[in-house]
Amino acid sequence: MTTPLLSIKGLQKSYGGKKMVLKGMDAEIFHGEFIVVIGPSGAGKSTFIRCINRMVDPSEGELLFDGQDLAKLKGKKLRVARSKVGMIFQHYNLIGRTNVIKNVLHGRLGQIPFYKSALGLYTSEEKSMAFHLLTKLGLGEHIYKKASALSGGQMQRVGIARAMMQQPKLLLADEPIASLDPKSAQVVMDQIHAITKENNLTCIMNLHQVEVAKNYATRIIGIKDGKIVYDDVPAKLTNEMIDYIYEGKEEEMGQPATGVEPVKGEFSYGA
Amino acid sequence: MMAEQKIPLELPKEKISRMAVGIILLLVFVLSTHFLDLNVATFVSRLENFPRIAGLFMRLNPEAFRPGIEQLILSVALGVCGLAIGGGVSFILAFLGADNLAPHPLFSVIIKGFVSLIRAIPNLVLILMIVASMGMGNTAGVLGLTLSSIGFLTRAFISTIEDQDTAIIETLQATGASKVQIIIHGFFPNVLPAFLAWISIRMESSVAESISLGVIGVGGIGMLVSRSIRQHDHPTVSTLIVIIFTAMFILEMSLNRVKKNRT
Amino acid sequence: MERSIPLSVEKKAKTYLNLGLLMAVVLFCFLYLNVNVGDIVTALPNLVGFLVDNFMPPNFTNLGVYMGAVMDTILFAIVGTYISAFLAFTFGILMSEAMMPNPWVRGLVRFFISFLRNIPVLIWASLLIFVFGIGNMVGLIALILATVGFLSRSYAESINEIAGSKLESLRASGAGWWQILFHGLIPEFIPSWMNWTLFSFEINIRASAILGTVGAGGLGILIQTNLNMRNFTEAAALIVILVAMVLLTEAAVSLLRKRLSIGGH
Repeated sequence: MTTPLLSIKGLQKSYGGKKMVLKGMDAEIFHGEFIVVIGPSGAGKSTFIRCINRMVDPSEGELLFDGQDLAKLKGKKLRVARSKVGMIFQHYNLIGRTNVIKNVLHGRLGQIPFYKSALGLYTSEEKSMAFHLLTKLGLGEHIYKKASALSGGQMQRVGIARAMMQQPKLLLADEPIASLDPKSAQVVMDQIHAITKENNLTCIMNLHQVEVAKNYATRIIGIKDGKIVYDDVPAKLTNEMIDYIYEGKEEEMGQPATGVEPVKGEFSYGA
Repeated sequence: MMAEQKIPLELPKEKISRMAVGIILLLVFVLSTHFLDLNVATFVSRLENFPRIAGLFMRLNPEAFRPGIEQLILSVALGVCGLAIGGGVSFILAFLGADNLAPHPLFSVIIKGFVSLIRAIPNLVLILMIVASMGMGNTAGVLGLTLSSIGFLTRAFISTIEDQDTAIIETLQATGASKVQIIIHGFFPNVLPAFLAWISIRMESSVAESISLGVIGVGGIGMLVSRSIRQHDHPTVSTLIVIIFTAMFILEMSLNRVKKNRT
Repeated sequence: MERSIPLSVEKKAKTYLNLGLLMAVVLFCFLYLNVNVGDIVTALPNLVGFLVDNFMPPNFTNLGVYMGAVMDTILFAIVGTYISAFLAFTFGILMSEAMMPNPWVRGLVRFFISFLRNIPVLIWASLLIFVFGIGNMVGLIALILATVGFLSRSYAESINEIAGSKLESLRASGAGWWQILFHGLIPEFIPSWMNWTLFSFEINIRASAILGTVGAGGLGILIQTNLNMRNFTEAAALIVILVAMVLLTEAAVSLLRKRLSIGGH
């Protein structure tokens, strides 16, 4: 059996030593997987995904990634490790007053020194990579627009391009379609799915729409109350299990964009 | 084919306008500094004395606490009285002067004009004019602070009232409510938290201004500061500064919660 | 059984208690000062009468002399605002949780800024004159101390708002502190930076005028001298000029805001 890309052992997170958000999680993530994490809000999905690239510092546990324990890294080493993990956010987190192409190039910041980025000294390879990514995502005409002038769906596509610009080994996505209308959500999901497949990239994504998760995931992890209660292929996810995961928060299961499913055949990069 | 193509990070037009703004900002600063003709040399030569004088300030005078606090109470009281009268007057002026409630457009124009006139005159100049008319004293101080409170609060209140949704007026008009009823039921509950926030903000500056008035002789802790400075009584000056800071800090902390309601 | 139905569930008793306390404090203040509201009300028409009798018509014969003071007042405000804007940005960063993880540094800077802010500007000016003697550098420094006190806190609030979520993306891509500052914080901060700075410029025009009253140059000293010497018509001219200057600056600033489309407060 191949070695896992990321192995999570005994991951715990508590705030101020009191409130336990993650109560000991174990998982092994293998190259090329498309993992969707589901669970009700407050179960710890977001904390879980943020612990992986240390946006949140875990209280206990190991995060073995690429031959080192991410949980123990500090300073420069942590930044280098982070640059190998791309991240897509629910609220896109673009720098609104900066133009689109510069936002995409922000993906390189972890890999180049300050003076270069400050003076705009990106290599022509980097610049053409950014341009290609944007063209591919259907944003070729908008590269000099301010990021704040884009629609939600377009912003999220810039977010995808920025994450890809890091040439990551792992892609994290925290509720990437939760703020989008159903149509844009469909486009964005397709693009993330296609781009990870094309680059043979491993992806861990939080979603609250179970149906969407089933449509895209190669593996689903169900989190309930800070613990992993389900970890298997989508086909084995029974309705009983879903009911158990969302016990007491049933109203969160069937939220918008339930119809989002992969487009068969050619992937379209909507305009 | 794409790799050959040079991709600029921004459009030339934007780059030029950004640089132009930068140059203008720099130029304004350089020219202003140049024309101001600052006597930096004298200042630097006096800087030598600084450590010695700073040393003189490093002591407190325990005997200054009592009079200091008494005069502080006087300063705070001046601020409170000015704010109380000013707040009441502003409350009435604001409901008469807000565009959406004014009985006649002329009210709005006159009140707003009067308010911007008061606002344009620095509080201290206002006080000097009042003192010229009626002499130093608590009444002069309160009158000065009343006027500047009116300047600040009327404008703030008016902007809060004008931000209110006019649908309330129409809804209540449809029920046959009178203008006064509309104001009492439709506006008071909505604007009151914001009004309280504005009053708290003004409370701080009212006390600060009141302390400043002391420096020019109206009375209160500011007057003690300038007197001790004239007498070269360093420990007393330090003690008074500590009292002023502590009082202002406590005031700020205790008003912080109410101030958050401003919209 | 008939029961009265309360129309709101708020704790009425507590509200009345607070209101009563407030009234008591205000009443105490009036009694303590021995000021009565009637005196204030009658003083106002007297003041207006006095101003009309003595200040009219304003005497503009020395206009040429005044213009120098007007220029000085404006230049003080410009230079003071500039320097303060840069100092305050540095302090604002050191005060914000998002950019300054060390709580000791943050606390220390917060205390220092709070000290600057809570000492009224005229007290600063008197102290500085005491230490360094009269001179325009002293007026400028007093202006800067007060402005830095005000701006640092406002900047820090805006910085915290921005840094909360927006900068997360740069952190996630492995960007260093300077990169986050330069590529994320500064571009996002520019609108609030302009907004607060212009706001403080409006305040500084007035502050710069009054610093003269403690001998730091500008229009204030001229107004005070003329009032003390009871040259009321000349004082009136100076006050008219001051008012015109303040109103013109405000108009210019609001025009600038519109052009930059950043909106007011």
